[in-house]
Amino acid sequence: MTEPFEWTAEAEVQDTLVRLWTSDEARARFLSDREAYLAEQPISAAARDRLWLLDAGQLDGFAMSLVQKRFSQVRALLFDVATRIPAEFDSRFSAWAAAHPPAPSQHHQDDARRFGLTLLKVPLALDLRDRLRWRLLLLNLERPGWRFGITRFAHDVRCPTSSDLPRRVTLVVWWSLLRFGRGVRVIW
Amino acid sequence: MGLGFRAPFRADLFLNASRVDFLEIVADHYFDPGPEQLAELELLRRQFPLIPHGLTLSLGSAAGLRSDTLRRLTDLVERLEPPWWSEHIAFTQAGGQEIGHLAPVPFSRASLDILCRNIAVARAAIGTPLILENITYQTTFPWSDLDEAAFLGELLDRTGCGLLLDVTNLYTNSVNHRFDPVRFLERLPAERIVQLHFVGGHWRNGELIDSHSQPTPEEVWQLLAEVLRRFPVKGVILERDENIPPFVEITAELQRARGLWTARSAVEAAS
Repeated sequence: MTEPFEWTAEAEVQDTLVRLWTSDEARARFLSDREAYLAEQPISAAARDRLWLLDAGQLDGFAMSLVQKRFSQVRALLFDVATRIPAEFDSRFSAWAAAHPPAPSQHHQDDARRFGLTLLKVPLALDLRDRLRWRLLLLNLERPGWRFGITRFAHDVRCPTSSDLPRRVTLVVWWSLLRFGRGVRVIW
Repeated sequence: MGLGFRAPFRADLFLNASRVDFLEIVADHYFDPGPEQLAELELLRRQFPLIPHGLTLSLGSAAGLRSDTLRRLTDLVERLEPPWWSEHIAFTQAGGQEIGHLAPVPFSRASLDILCRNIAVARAAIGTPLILENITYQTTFPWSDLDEAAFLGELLDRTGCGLLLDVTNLYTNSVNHRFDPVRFLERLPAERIVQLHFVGGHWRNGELIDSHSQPTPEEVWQLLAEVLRRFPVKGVILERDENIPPFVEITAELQRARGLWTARSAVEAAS
């Protein structure tokens, strides 16, 4: 079915708005030279005319709100880490969010998991225990239908599971135990 | 008098079941549910009536609805058999890109056409009545050709849907965009207002944000009382998402809202 012209222009406006709201780079280019930015977009003149009228302050304000919303949700999910290294967590999340599109509304576990995995690759002032808890948290975020847990992990690890773990997880843990021997690395 | 269900409420909720008449669940959390989620739904359903509240159907998307999201929502509503379900007057994605939050649509004739088309598709798939929620808007569109009250009135009229009036969102918009919320209420079709939301937000850079993170402020309580005086709503939901307080504070807010509701009922009975 062919859409009425008006709806096609609306779709073009929405596509462009989403880019402007979620990409710092696109928004900066738009705000510095609207004409050049809009000329590059594969959109109709009707859509261009509307987008030209956008208020710069509102555009920045809504974009900031979106990042704040993501931040508060991700921070709640990675609370332990966020409170141990608050300044670094904030700055690294801002940089990460600017380069990574958001997960769907209320699917912030995905944002938290992706950001958490990124953070694991950089040296941070976290001790081994915090890092282990963090990996466990990410594992739980990655597989929301499962529950991974640890009861003892410093040494003499025999069955690092909680009582309500599914059998398959227990098997994975034991397999890892057999492969790597004792110590915290056995979980992964 | 009900509560938006969130995982941190789980334990306290069952200890205080007599204080909560029904729950609103975030529908998207239960799309393609695993065994744990199914068990949770069943547990909740045994104790409370459940109302599914959608977030990502994106009724305002000019490109139309995503069939997979609609299918999942249909499955959930059919599973729960609620008296109604709800979604926002918003779009959450475009061009294959998620926004991660609810984004406003322009208050325009074109937006009305798009919403009416998408709502018709959703209602064809889901027979249960749909009610639509007003959202906050930090951004306005210069090409809007209606104001919000006229837009809502025409949308409800054309679709036949009910309204989930978020009292906090109305208050937030009235503060940020400087209009009188009571005058706004006067322009709404009373018979279409089915359910209410309320909670508190926070201030940032001189702007009120609907973060669902604070106790309900006095101004919202007053507006809620005004709404309950005017409209025969069927349910009221406290919608706390962040900065979750001890549950006793949640039940205290529910109790206060129940008092307003009871006062309304008493006036109705007397008249």
